[in-house]
Amino acid sequence: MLWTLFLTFFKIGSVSIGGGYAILPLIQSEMVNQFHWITQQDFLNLITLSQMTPGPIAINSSTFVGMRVAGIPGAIVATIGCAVTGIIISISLYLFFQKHKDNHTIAYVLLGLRAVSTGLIGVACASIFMSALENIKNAPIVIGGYNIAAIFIFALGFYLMRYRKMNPILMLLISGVIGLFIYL
Amino acid sequence: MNMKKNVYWRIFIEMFKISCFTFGGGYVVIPMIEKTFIDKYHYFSKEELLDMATIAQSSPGVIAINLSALSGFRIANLKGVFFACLGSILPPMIILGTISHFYDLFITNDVITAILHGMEAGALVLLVDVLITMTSTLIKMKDYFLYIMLVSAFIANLVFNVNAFLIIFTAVLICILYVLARRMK
Repeated sequence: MLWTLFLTFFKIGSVSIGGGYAILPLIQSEMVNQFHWITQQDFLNLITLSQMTPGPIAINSSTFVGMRVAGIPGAIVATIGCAVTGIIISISLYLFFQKHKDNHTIAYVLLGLRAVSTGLIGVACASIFMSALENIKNAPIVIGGYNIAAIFIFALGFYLMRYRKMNPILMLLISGVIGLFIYL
Repeated sequence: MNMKKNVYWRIFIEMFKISCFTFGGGYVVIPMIEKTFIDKYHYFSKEELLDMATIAQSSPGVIAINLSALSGFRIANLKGVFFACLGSILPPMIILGTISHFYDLFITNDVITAILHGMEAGALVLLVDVLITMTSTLIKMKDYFLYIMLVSAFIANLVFNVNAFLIIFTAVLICILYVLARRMK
């Protein structure tokens, strides 16, 4: 059982590029439809939980499913399976780019990838921006269906980070505390 | 205290702290790593971090873990990788493992949902911060081809839902062809 768990998450971790939600359809097809390790409802709960808790969604999913299937050993095995390919390939790529720093073509590929990565980060920004704006649960000020308080927290956080050079973790904590006052 | 041991412990504990606050996807760890490992400990340069972030994103798997592994590798080789990964994997495992036991209690607690709702906007700040950093370093290069790649990737993924793997793969091919074509000229 542990071995199947490892292999399945190894597979998922090996084929998903781009992180985050790209991994969800894979988890659904393997965990829900093929192995019946979790139900469709579990899967939806898992998404909510992942949004509400820190940590990468892939790690959250492997912990959640591994735990359900085989307890703590299951969680550990699934998580390692999920992360190991990425770690190995990242380090190999890093060494490759380091070694060929002076090769013009390879250096340019890295630059091109950086441009593309920036574009993909832009997409992540846009989608999180929309979900933050549309999350109007208990929001004190809603204009046109959008949560204006979220814009206020965002603006304050942005000011603290960019202009006051505040530690990101402290900034997150402050936005959480403000959230407590605004949304409770 | 033994210096070497000190480094590993530092990598572990800093990654652990960062991982406790990784809301909103892997990219938010970039400014956190910058603050800790560059501004505070000067382990590597910002330029190197951007390269590592690019590689972490272009590799399969989990971006935050990949980047953590690369930072660990850069600071203290394979042992660094081990401690960095351990530090980043433990918090979500512990938190999610615990929470899935008390799921109903957790999800209906108004205090918790209010705090998390506030943090959502905070996580967006981190994401925008990364976007600004990465875009401004690209703009400084004054290479219009890169600007086009950036915008095309954004549109392809957001509007046409092209998956990231395909985008990355195509980008590698296009860059190689572009350099070869320029050389021929």
